[in-house]
Amino acid sequence: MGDDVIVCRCEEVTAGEVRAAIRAGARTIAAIKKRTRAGMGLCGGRTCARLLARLLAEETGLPVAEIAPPPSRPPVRPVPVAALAEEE
Amino acid sequence: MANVVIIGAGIVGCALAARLAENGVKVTLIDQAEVVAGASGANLSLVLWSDAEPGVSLTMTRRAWDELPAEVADLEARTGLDLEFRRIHTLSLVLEGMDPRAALAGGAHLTEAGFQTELIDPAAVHALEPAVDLGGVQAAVYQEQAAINPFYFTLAWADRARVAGASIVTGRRVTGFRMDGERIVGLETAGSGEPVGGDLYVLAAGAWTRALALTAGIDLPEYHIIGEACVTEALPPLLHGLVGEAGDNRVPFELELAARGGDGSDLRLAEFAAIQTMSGNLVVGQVSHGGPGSGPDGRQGNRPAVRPGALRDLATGLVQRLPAARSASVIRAWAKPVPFTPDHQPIIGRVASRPNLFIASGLKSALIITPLLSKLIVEAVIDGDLGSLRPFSPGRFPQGGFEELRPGG
Ligand SMILES: Cc1cc2nc3c(=O)[nH]c(=O)nc-3n(C[C@H](O)[C@H](O)[C@H](O)COP(=O)(O)OP(=O)(O)OC[C@H]3O[C@@H](n4cnc5c(N)ncnc54)[C@H](O)[C@@H]3O)c2cc1C
Ligand code: FES
Repeated sequence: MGDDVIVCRCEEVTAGEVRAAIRAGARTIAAIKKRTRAGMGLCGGRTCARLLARLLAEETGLPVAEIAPPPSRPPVRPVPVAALAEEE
Repeated sequence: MANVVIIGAGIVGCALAARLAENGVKVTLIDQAEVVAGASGANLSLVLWSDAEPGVSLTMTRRAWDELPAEVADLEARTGLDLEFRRIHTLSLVLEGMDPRAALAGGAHLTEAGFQTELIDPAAVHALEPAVDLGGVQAAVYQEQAAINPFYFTLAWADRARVAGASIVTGRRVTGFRMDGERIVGLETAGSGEPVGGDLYVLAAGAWTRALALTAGIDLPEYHIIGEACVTEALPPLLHGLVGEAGDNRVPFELELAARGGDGSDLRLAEFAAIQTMSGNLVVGQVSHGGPGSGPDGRQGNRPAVRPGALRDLATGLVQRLPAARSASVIRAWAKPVPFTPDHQPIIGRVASRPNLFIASGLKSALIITPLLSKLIVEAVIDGDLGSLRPFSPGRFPQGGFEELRPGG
């Protein structure tokens, strides 16, 4: 995958930026997220998590199966503020 | 000091690692997860001086504030990261039934230290934050505070530490200290890897500090609240600064929790606050509650989940105060423990009965103070003298603050 390829569409993060995060010490998807914002977009990482795992495996030599999935944060899907709020 | 091990890669641990390594000390920084996994990545991004008391002194906060722009510029120049540091105003809305003077609590004090605060009328609130709809309330306004990207702020210190030669070990949970009498001789860790050890152990594990200190036979009077917050999708500009509510419920809430030895899952405090990030997301806080305690039986409380009801309270606050955000989507919520002490001062310094253990924890508003505090702590570690940090020494607690000091025991 070329460095210019966008791996996280929501946050427009490229493979090159993810590789740089890994070079700076990121060893988990959670760590990549914090440095690049990849996975922090509207889709909550559903679209990009597997690509991030693949890049991590390629760069570190870790087997894909050993890469922990990103921590899931509620709400599981985006929910409008008004649907969550308690209104009179 | 030849060889220092720092436990906890939050903002405190990372800043200490950078400064010690830059002073020629061999540093190992170890974290159970990754850099910025704890409260340092879960906060509202505020660089607040209005929070200085109770807490570290106003004088120290003033110095930290004055030095901060240069510290940020230096970090950015060394790391190439943009920390998104920006000056913002913060508004504390005076809700119905509240004494407006209470909203300005500490006002005179702050003015003396050269910080500007004033009470403004509803029209002026509207002029500052046109999207906020409160049906005409007053607000205390702090014209010049600041915000910063908390992930990048912490990562920049970690990068700086690495460049200076520190070794950063992530994904290794410390499960305890190995002792030889009063001295720590190594760390017990979960998972595989090289053994980690050094001459001095700096415990900078935030809300987890008490549980770890217990494994060295030390019971620090440090407790934690669990803070919950959420973030929306990116939106067009709606807020210029921070909008929150004036209130002084935090201190009694924490004191009650401390009186119960930190155990208080039923204690709860909702304080509305919202700020928009540089990317346009609204970060909305904060519901706080007590955990099951951080003592020997309460360690599970250190990995909290967002409680049912927290999202409802955060969303309810947001639609009331910022109607334009009602159709925005909430995309993430989180819960993280934040430490506090009964006197609201951090715990910094060596423990008399454990000659190679140094505590650096208990900060509730870490973003403004850490650049200065880390500088002073490194001086203290190198000189073996706490200097101006003496008021924060663990020795301030009765009996040295340790084994004997079990609340109620
Ligand atoms: C919702 C919320 C809003 C906040 N708002 C603000 C704000 O606007 N401004 C502000 O200044 N402050 C704010 N705070 C407080 C601030 O985030 C904390 O004061 C600060 O992050 C503390 O930093 P720390 O480095 O001491 O702890 P942490 O960042 O919690 O770091 C501790 C580290 O230790 C690691 N660790 C723990 N146990 C172990 C172990 N056994 N082995 C190895 N590693 C371990 C953890 O993984 C973690 O990375 C807020 C907090 C919350 C939760
Ligand atoms: S594609 Fe990465 S968060 Fe949506």
